[in-house]
Amino acid sequence: MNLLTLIKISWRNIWRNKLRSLVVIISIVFGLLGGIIIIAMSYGLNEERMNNAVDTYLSHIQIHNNLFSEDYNIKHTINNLDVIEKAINEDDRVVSYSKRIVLNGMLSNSNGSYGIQVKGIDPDEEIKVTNTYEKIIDGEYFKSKRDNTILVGKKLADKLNLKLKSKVVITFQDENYELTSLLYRVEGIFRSGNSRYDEINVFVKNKSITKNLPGFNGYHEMPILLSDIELRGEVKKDLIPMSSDNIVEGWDDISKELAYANEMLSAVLYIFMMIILSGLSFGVINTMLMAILERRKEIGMLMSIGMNRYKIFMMISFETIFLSLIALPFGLITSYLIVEYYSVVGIDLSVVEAGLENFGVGTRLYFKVPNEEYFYVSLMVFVISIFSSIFPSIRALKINPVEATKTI
Amino acid sequence: MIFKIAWRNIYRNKKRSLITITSVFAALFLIILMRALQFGFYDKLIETVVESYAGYVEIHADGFWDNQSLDNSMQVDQQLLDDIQSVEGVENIVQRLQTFSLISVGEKTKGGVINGINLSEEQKITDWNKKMVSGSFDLRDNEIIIAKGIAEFFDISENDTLILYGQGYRGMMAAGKYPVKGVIDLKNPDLNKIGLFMTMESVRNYVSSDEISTHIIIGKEKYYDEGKIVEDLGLILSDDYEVMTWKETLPEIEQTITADSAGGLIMAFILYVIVVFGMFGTVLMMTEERKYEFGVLISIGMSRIRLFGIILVETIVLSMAGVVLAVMFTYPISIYYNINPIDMAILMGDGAVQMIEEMGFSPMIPMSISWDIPLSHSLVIFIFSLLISIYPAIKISKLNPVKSMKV
Repeated sequence: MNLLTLIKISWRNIWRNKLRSLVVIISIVFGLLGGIIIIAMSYGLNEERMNNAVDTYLSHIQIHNNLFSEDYNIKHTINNLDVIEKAINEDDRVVSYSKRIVLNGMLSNSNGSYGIQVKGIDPDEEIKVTNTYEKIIDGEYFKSKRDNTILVGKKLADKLNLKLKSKVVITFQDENYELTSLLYRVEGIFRSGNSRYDEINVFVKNKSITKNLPGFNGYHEMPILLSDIELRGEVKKDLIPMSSDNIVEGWDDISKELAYANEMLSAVLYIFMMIILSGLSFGVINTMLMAILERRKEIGMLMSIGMNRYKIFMMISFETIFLSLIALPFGLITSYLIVEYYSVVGIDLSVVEAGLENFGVGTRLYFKVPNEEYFYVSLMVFVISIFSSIFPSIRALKINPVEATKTI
Repeated sequence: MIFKIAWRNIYRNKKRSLITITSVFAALFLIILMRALQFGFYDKLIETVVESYAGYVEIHADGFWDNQSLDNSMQVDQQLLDDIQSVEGVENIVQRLQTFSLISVGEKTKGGVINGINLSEEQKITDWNKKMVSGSFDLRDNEIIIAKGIAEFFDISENDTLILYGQGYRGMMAAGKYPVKGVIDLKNPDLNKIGLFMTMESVRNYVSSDEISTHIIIGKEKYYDEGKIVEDLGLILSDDYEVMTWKETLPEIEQTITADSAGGLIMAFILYVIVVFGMFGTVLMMTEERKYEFGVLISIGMSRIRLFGIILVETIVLSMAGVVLAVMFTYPISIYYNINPIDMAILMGDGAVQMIEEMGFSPMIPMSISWDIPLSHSLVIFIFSLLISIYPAIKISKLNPVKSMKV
């Protein structure tokens, strides 16, 4: 009896007892599905978190004065700004940019005071770079003709009980180290999806600062948006030589925790995948063991008509391989469809909204699976199911043909 | 009689019984380990955050939390401390006096929060003495320890002097000049920018009052429910005080855990589907194998209901065995990894590990040894195994004895 006949027998065995095959196939499909969904959720969460951060506050590249990043002193404005601006205007990899005045100070009203960061912006430039204007939940994004209006985050507004048109005072050290206070009225309240950001950032118009500080000019922060986020390395390299007093950073340099989140994620995923795959493996092993118990008589018969143990082992292994090969496409198609569906529709997680805002993501979770993960997961599931069939096959070899055929 | 037959069936075919037990065991084993790991992570998170600054339970004068001014402070006497100490689950109590102040060095000024602390008591709750970057935690009167961020901002270190000024008690002006005793890394970027520490007496002196405190921080016995402590405290304390747990003082941590455990639940659900299906497969194959036996029993006159009763008893006994084994096996594992936490660092690059450590967390994750996990999941798995036994019941009710004996 050659190998081909053995394969043929295995193939027929699968279709002979459809129920048994179905159970194993469904187990494998579930294993694959479970693995892919876990990956989809984690990647989805991470990607959304990153996109949110990049779109609302990180941008692709930011330029600061070297000293400003250390002490936030108002004097340390971006060096050589004209040259940089000219270069950026000519660079067609750059989609948009804006210039901000950044002040560290205190915002107070009658309810108390909080340490905040004031971003002085030009609203027309800013909407091309960040999407805060889309996140206004109450009021307007600098539509007022007055200069002294301010946008505050939802979290800060709650803490200080701020409403539209509430008066607030911002206090900071000016370029002469004098404490300066400016009065603003709340024009809008934004909610970015990241509560920590909403707590410490407020926006005002550039003009409101410059007209009260006659001795000050320049900008502290220059966020740049590129046509593709992956270009940030090259553009960074071109911008660095323009002034040694400036520091040019990509989003991943600014927010290290976001950049490393992927790595932490995969460490956790790795452990959970191991647990899921062990679950699958136990399921397959137990089902196959029971199947072998049920097939004792059949296997005993085969042995007594002269099929040797090696061939029995091969036969059962082939059966498992076939079952996995049938299960994998099914599992892949179902998981692909589920992932595609939820990558568009998203899962509503508004029950835990507040916690998610802490992570910096919105309330809808969109699935996302990198293509190569489909391959890796299938491979792992395939290997695990083959591996799981070894133990039951060995059990089958121990069957005593005389006793097995004797039983009813 | 049903029990006798069921017991003999289990004993008769040991191999089959063993496989069924294994399937329940494996399912529960994996689920308990996964949940123990998840909850261990939360415990660690809470421990790190709560023990680094706030306590599990805090007591303030009523209204302090909403308006954190010294005018909402309280005077603590021995009687109050004794009352609190008498509550079950309370391990340590420590008082603090916290006030906002401006810090000034040379031409620079920034805001900070002064913490007046009782050195020897404080070490029972927080581990600040282990977090010193330079200098020692051994504060004497009128000396100050500053957080890392402040030291960097002003570019000062040990033996430099800084000036504090702000508002004292009941509108008094507060100002003082203090030499730096040491620099502390609070392992939290936000706290590092504002934290200042002095002895209780120095701060009281600074704000011109002899006996006020703003916080009473309570350290609880491990795994004791803080909600229970709050409830008991509510009974003995008057309305002049407010009692809060870390869930209220640090709502972000609570919410982060809720959000993350939603993800954890989905993972647990996926694992449940997989393992329960594994259990189902085992039972399904068992029913197939025993069709002949069932056929014989029915044809010699056993009622189908009674037959199902036998199967049900068998299922209950076997699942119980699996459940008990799983709990017995996982508990020592949980205890082992609780004492020797799992090192996530080997799965991550250096950068990520460094960042985690900067945030005050360690990449070592212990497993939770709370009994809630094995008990609740045992119950779920047990119920599932009963539900699965519906399958043989249906098979038995439809079984045609003649056909099933014709192999």
